[in-house]
Amino acid sequence: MSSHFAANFISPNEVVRASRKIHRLGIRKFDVHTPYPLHGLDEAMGIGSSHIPWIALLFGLLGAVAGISLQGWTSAIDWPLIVAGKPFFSWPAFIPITFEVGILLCAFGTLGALFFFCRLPKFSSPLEEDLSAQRSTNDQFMIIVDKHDPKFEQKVLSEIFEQHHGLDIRWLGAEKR
Amino acid sequence: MHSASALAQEELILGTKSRSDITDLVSSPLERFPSKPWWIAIVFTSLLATIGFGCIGWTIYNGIGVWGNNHPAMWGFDIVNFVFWIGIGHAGTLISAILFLFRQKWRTAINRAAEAMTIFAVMCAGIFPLIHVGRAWLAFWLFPIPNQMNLWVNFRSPLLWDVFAVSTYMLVSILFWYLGLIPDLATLRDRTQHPIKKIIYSVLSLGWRSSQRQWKHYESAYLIFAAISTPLVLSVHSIVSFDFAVSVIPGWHTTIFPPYFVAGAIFGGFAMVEILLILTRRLFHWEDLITVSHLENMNKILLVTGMIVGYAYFVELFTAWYSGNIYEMYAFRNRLTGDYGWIYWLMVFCNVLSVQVFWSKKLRRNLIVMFIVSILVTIGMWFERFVIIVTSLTRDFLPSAWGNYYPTIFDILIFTGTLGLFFTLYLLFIRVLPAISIGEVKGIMKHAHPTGEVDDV
Repeated sequence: MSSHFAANFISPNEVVRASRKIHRLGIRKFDVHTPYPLHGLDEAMGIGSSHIPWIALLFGLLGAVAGISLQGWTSAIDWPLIVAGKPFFSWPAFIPITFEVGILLCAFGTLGALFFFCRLPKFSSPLEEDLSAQRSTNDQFMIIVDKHDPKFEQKVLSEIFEQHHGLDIRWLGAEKR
Repeated sequence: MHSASALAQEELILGTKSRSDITDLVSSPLERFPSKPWWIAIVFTSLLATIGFGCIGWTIYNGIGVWGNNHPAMWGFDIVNFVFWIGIGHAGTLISAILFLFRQKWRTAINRAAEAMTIFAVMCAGIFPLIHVGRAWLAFWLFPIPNQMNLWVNFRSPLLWDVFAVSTYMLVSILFWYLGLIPDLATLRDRTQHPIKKIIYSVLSLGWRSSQRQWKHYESAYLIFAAISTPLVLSVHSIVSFDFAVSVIPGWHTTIFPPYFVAGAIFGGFAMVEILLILTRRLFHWEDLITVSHLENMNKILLVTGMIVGYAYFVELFTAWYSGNIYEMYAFRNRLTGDYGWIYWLMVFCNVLSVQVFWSKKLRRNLIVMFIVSILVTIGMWFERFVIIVTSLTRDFLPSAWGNYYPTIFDILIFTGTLGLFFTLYLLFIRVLPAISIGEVKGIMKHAHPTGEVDDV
């Protein structure tokens, strides 16, 4: 027996209502797989906002500092060379590259943070054994609950799933055997 | 069209489609053998690209003396093509980033193809500075890499800002495009039965499972990418315009260049996106996803940006006259009536006059009209860069230094080669990756989101 109890849904309304009930039961180790991000589902599941913007800001500033330092160090310290009679540290001319390097590092930081928070790349998943689970990237929504959650009760969950027209209520991967 | 309420939302997906219909419709071209028109097109475009690469090889072997560049026209087709291609790319970022920030839902059906087009256009653009430096094998000197001379690059030069701007633009565009592709690659992974495709899609989708806890971070990251790409795209063409505006050549040394170049870039790029989309939707029967309303919206943007460009042409003339500077005045008189005057008027016809047909709703929704206008705009925007670069260089301050510019066959074949490369890459792209964002289109369907559920907690 696998460790994930699951049900598929067709209606976005029903999946949000079911998720809200599961969250209110105090269950935290559960997730909803949807083919596209559903409005309001994060609130129903009690997910807080992402920390990615802070990381993006940090990397953006880091890039900007790196950009201006590179230009300042090469032009004013490592080899001060008079170009067109300008000061060695001619900062107005350094703005474009400072900006570009800031953007570049911000982009890498954002993607890196996304991979970190989503734990990508992921090499295996309980979903890949389950044919109904694969519809969660196509046309259906799926709730899966981990049985290791302290509040896990199969009977209560089955009731919630059935109440909200859950299809194919099952233990993940059970049909393969 | 329901004229009852002018503000009523236009339907973005026609017909009654289920979510799986969308998946089937978008991924079906990836699952069948290419059609005859596709083969004919790719044979032609890859032939052009091959000839172009041959000419590039010949240029590198012989030196850039095989081009028409001379003294005083030291920038010719090479820089015209560079600016042209960079500009084409800008429309893709506008659609994917700026329209996303403005919550324009119609962008979802066209953003994937437009982003791909951006990357291919920037690849074509990147070729030109590389070969234009003459000794392409020393092009790495453009980057601040410690070298045997202990000498650094000149950070005060707009040409160097360009190196940073274009490479950043290229990398960020690729990351943004790939970020958008991850959920669709996961869809394809779960859908395909082919074992080799399954492995490829599994690796590329990085194990994405489209769970809400992942989506939350994903949407956050996507928004940040849109937010940083917006100033980035504006900065890139501004910096390209600095290559000219920071010099002292009459006709180049103007403050209007950055906004003028950005508007022109978006204008020319949108025309190219339209050409590609009109053909793609016909080839793959995507008329219900990329509707005439989508194209109409793009035509409105063409009309607006076309008039911004027209305004810039006018302001340039006015400023030259108002400055009282004889060199400025001569530069513009020469543009209008000199040896290249016919190109100026061709440019005005293509970029300013031809788009005026879009004032009419009937013509704005006519596929043949918009296809012809898009081609005219693409031609016009190429000639605009030619006018800016060549007329100013061939007639600057000293009459003794004047001289005309004539391209050689190598200039022309390298340009058509990049056209071939661009279309070849696009044709390959639409066969191997979903050219419409499957996930995002599902999100704008009717009843896609729960109603009355968000606030009733």
